[in-house]
Amino acid sequence: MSKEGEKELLIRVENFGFKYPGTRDWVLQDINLDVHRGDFVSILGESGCGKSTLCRALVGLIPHSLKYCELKGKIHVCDMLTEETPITTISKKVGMVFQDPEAQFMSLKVEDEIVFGLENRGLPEEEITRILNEVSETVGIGGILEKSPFEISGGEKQRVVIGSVLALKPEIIILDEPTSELDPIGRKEILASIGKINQELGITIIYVTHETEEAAYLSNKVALMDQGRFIRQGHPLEVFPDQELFKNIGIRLPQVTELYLELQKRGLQLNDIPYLTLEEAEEDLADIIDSKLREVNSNEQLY
Amino acid sequence: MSSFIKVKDLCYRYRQNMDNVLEGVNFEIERGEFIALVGHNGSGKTTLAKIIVGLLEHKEGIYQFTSREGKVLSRRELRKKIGMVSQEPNNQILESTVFKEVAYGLREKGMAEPEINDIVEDILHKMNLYHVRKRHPYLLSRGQRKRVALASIVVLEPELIICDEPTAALDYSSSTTVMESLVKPWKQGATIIFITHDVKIVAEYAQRTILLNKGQVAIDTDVRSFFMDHHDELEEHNFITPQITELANRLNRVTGRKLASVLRVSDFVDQVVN
Repeated sequence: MSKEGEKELLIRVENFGFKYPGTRDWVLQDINLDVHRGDFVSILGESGCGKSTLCRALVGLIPHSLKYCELKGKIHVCDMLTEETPITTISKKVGMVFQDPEAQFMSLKVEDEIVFGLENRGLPEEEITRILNEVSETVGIGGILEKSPFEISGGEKQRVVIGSVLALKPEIIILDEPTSELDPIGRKEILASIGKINQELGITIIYVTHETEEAAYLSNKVALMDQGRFIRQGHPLEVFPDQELFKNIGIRLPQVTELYLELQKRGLQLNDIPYLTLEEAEEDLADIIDSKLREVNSNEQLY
Repeated sequence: MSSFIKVKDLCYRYRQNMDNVLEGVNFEIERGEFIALVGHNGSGKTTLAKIIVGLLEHKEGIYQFTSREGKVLSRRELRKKIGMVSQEPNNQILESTVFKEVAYGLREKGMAEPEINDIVEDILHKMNLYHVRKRHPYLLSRGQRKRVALASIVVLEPELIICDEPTAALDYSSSTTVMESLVKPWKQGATIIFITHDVKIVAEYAQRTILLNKGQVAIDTDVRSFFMDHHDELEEHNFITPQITELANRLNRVTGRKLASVLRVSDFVDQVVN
């Protein structure tokens, strides 16, 4: 596939559309998306906007696991055209993690869960052990390999699923709201693992979420979806300042970004670059807060 | 007169030879409070809620529910005063249309049809469900189903509403609609307890927050103090504060200044821009 700069194009979605036969509305329409090797792309949108459907199309579940559907446009994934390639071939390059981890379990031991796919591929024993160790290190499940996947915490469950996908050495991992059923620690654990997989292993990530605070930390690209269409794509720094856009589709900006935009509106001199993360906000605001509150405090003393 | 709800040294375990899920829980609740019950999975939140509702019977410690008339109610009596919306809305859906579902409890009570009609239509309008009243509840979105479950509880005018994870797996706009549906009965005098992991929802809606840890109350205080004064403890419990509160806490530490109560972005802005 063509190269843009240094980075190789891994996914190209061209004017893709999808609908169930006999229905009037397209579930997905005019979808265009380029994903390059090493990208972390977050797809943001409200429940029911079509995010999950797009994920299923990217791994070929659409159209292959549906008997009838209407399609428009094309999806290329790692030099394959999804509608012409069997799912088993696509799945060698693309791994998928769904919202509910239990739906993906098939063994009674965490370790078996990780090696299942490797044994299926007939890898030699030493190779399997090596990959198992590597993967458990990356997603931090070394201590629970002997446990049943049903008796561990929600965050651990989801990391086991990510581990089992990672073991198959995909080029792309697609995660469909992997944190939505987890508590705050579970979320943190998952994000740390995914960040590591992206930054240290260079695996391309497509991350579906409605949590912009999560997307802000890791993404180099976000795509905003509303009613089956992409309404905006770009680096979070280009997209997040458009507060109206987010309000219209019922998605909340990171609180620090909201704060930046609000303070700027009220005439405060801030850094030119909007805050995406807590750390950025802290760095820029420390001096401002110090002098502002000093004013306030001395005014109080006057009275 | 004694408190509305009194919980003292409450312990619970599911089976004789199992560990205690609740290990000496203590608190009192007054009428009209809006309380967030938080804590990690497995901390005992749902078990505690089930005891309060009367679904589980405790053997150790005290749990008292006092009626408006000052009478301590039995488990059977208090069941009628409390409505619980469980985590999974499907579990409590019985009827084939949204309207019938919401009317179910009123019909069970033997209320006259015209009156039921008025009450149900009114609540469906308020909860933004009127347009789907003829649909099967299973055909609705998760947020809508959660609201149907909540509406069918609210029409019965319980004195206490307990909502388990009202916003789990919902996006922001559906979360807001569900929470606003709890605010309405609260304004009419109901007491609300909601269980959640969503710290922003806690910061924006709760008055008081009770953090359970390993079956005990770890922190019990007003929501401002919970996020602003108990920073170290929250960290110890691996509890994450809303981003804007965390920012205020960090800036206070760095500058030695005092941003007071920052629970929403607007609280921060108002203190910095005069």
